[in-house]
Amino acid sequence: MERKEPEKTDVLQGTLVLLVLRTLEALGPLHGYGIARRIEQISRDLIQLNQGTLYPALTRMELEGWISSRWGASEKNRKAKFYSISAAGRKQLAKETHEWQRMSSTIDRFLGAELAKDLS
Amino acid sequence: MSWPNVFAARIRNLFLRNRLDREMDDEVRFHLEMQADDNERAGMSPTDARYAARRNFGNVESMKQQCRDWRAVTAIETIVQDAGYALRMMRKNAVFSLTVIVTLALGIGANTATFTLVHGLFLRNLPVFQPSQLARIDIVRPTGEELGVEWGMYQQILSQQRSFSGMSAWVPGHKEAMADNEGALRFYNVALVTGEGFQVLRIGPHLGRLIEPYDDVRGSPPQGWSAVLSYSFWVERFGGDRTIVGKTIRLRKTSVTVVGVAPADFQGVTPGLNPSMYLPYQIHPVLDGDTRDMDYGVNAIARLKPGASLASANAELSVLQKDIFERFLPPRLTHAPAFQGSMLHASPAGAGLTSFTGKYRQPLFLMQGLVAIVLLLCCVNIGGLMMSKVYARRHEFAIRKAIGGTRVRLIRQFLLESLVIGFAGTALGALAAWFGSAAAVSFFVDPNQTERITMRPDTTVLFVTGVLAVCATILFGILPAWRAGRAEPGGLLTSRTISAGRRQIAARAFVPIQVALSLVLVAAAALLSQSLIRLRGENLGFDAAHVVTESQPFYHQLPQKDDDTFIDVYQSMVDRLEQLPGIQSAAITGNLPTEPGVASRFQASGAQNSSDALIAYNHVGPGYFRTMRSRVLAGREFERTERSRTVCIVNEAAERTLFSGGQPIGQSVVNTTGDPKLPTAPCQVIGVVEDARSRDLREPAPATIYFPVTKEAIPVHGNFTFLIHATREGDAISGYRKAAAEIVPSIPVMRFATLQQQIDEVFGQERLIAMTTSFFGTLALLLSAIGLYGLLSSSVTQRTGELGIRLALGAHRTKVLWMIQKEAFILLAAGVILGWALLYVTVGFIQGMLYQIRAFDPVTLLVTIVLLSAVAFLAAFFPAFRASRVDPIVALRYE
Repeated sequence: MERKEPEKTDVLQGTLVLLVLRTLEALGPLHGYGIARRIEQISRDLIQLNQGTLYPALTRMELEGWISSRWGASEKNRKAKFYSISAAGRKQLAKETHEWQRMSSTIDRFLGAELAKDLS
Repeated sequence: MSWPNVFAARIRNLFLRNRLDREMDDEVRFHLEMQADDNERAGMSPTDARYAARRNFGNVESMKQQCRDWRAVTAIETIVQDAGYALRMMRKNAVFSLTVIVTLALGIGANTATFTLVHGLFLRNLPVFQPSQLARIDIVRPTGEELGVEWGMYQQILSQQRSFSGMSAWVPGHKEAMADNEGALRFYNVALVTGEGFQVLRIGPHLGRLIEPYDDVRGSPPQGWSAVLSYSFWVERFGGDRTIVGKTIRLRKTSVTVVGVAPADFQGVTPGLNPSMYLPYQIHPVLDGDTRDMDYGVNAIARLKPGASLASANAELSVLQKDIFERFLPPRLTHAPAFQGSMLHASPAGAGLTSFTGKYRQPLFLMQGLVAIVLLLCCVNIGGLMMSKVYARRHEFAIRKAIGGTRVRLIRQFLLESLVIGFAGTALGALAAWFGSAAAVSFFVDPNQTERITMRPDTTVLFVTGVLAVCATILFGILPAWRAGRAEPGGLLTSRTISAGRRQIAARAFVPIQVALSLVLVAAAALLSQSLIRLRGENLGFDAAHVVTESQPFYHQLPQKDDDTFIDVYQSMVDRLEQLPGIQSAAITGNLPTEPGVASRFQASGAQNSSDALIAYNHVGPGYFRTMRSRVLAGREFERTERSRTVCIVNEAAERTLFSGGQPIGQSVVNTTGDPKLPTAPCQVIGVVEDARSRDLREPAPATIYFPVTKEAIPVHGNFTFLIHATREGDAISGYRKAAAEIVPSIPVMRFATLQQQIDEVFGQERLIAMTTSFFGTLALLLSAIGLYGLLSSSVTQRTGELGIRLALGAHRTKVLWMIQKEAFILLAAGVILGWALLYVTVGFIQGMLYQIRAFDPVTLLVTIVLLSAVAFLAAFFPAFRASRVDPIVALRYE
């Protein structure tokens, strides 16, 4: 029997910012492709990043002042735009992380309660 | 986001867009190439790898559009945020904001009001078809003075020229009496125009029709004389009555039939001289009651044929010139030195006959220059204030920078604050100008103008104001904004004492500029006021302060007409006035010194070899010189019994001109022109009086001959004016009312004014300019003082630590005081030098306006500099005093 490929999920609305900020915080300056790859790798390819949505998000984040960008040379010595996280970005990351954790723990609790009901 | 916002943001992005799009393309290409490489490495064929990369990426165009939209949304949001923030900051610093807004409003308001006049009187095109095709034809003196043309000349040019599609002649400033709303007779401006006048302008009527060639017939047209009312006269006098066409209006000598109303925006061909009514040119002998074929000087307005140019028209006129000058000008004139180099010349007339207002050109342009300096000063001052605000808020800016605010955002935000201030100031200024220009216009139009003129800013003026406001905002906002953007987070960490060492060089530069501009304004104010004082203090040859006049009395409405009984009425009034308490003497005169007089050519009848000369004449009653307090130098005044022009009195100037130093009493003078208004027989000189200035009071007194009041003088002057010499003005007025009630109860009482008040009216422009310059000079001083005080105060605050250390180490307090004062004086000295240079450049404009004082008057300059120094000293004293009182302990703890 052929093993079914795990179903890929679209990146959740609103979490893209969190993922990008976290990536940049962890890895330092990265170009857009690098960010996309990293997100896909970390999620073990479970998150299907519609790469086209990444760039508008980056533009917005830059306008918000959370990230900044500059042109530089890539590992293959090609011209690429590198993004890095700013002080405001770190603050935003902390805020969103906190919110996400709260949200996810709420859902966990909720699911846990449902589970307990099922078991009883 | 609503579509207008998106639209606006798109436009804003337009300029940046190419670069941003190109970058975006580069970024996407890079992404796709990387992905393709990775795919290949995973074992795909190069083609498949590229396709897969594209598939994975999704729609590139829609992605790019999303990015653009994000940029647009953010831009709008930040602007809204910044504007909100700017408003909050302004509310927080209400006093500061108010000071700045009022300062700007003054500058903008003064400029708008003045420009309204400049534009209305000199620049605005007439509301006619293709004004650029209009030309005026004049004899032009080498000085540029336009003399108009003589009627015969006009007709000759009309018949010979080929350059113009139409020509017309105008007499724009005729005066005619009509009954006003209360039924009282008063003078109105009337324009005389040939039948082609409105065809040349190509305008249509508001109501009825305009003057046509068949209205303009010598003698009298069969349908009677027609009149076209101006729109404003029609509204004010007839309440906009639409049935006015066909009605008749009674003038002094004839009646006219209203045939139409001119369009609302057309106020005649001479800016500032709005006629009430347009009449056919040929009516003039009827109006003047002069049956002789008298010719008028006219203003010719012509329309160039399509394709014809002014240059070609002038070439044609120069060919016609010789013949025309020979035929129509007397050799005496053409050979006069002053006439040499004059030529027949066509010049643009799209803005109307502006040279009529020519004598107001220089003062008005001077005023425009002065208010421009004021605006500049306001900008510099606001710039300085904003600069200190930036300094005060430097911590805020540094913090914002530290938490991720970009430099562009800070600059933009500060500029927006300037913009809000600019907008508020401009709105206030424009409002002030709306009323201000209406008030100011009366100073710049003919003082004999009977019509009230209102001039209001129009769209062009408001547009210029808008541009001015934007420039001003940029001027005062850009440097502080740039400074705000440069705030460094690092600045937060450095010690205040150290950072204070780097003092505000840029803010400092504002002070000398302020001082320089103030110097120019204060010096100009001092010079103009002094020349006004000199003008007013000139010996006029009469006592202006105590003579009250009662002008334009309607004595022509009396039954006694045009004979000696008419004069008797005046005489009995004078006799009665002199009996009343508080009145020293009274007399009548044909002309007041402040009125335009009449003149003719006279000659000493004994001396055959002497030539005739142009001499002014007037008719005055007995007691005239006593009432005016003009001294009789030889001979005597007229007696009550003298009612014929066989005797006369000359003034000193006339004595010199006619008798060249000989004894005039007993000799005779004779009129050489044959003017029917003057006696043909010689008349004997019975007295010599001191010179009295008249009409243009800046000029020396003109040579004048005085005749007794006779019935023949009635057509020359119409009515006579009463002069009453009284210690108190009230005595004269109540006395006149009493006498009039007894003797001429049917005659309405008109306006009373002292001669001094009338002279002040004649000097209206000088007064206005001296007043406004003084006002702005004072304002400039105040602004400079505020600027200097603000700068030094914040400097002292910054240096508190340093000063504390100095004092702790034993520096004397007076030394610290002088240290700050010295700083002020260095800035002052720099400003004075700069101002001196500026004055040197601008002095040429002022010189023409000055009376008997040089523009570089050393005393005035010295006084100005002393005044500025005093103000600087005061402004610097308080901060300096505060600096010297710094407590070292407190100062050091302040760190």
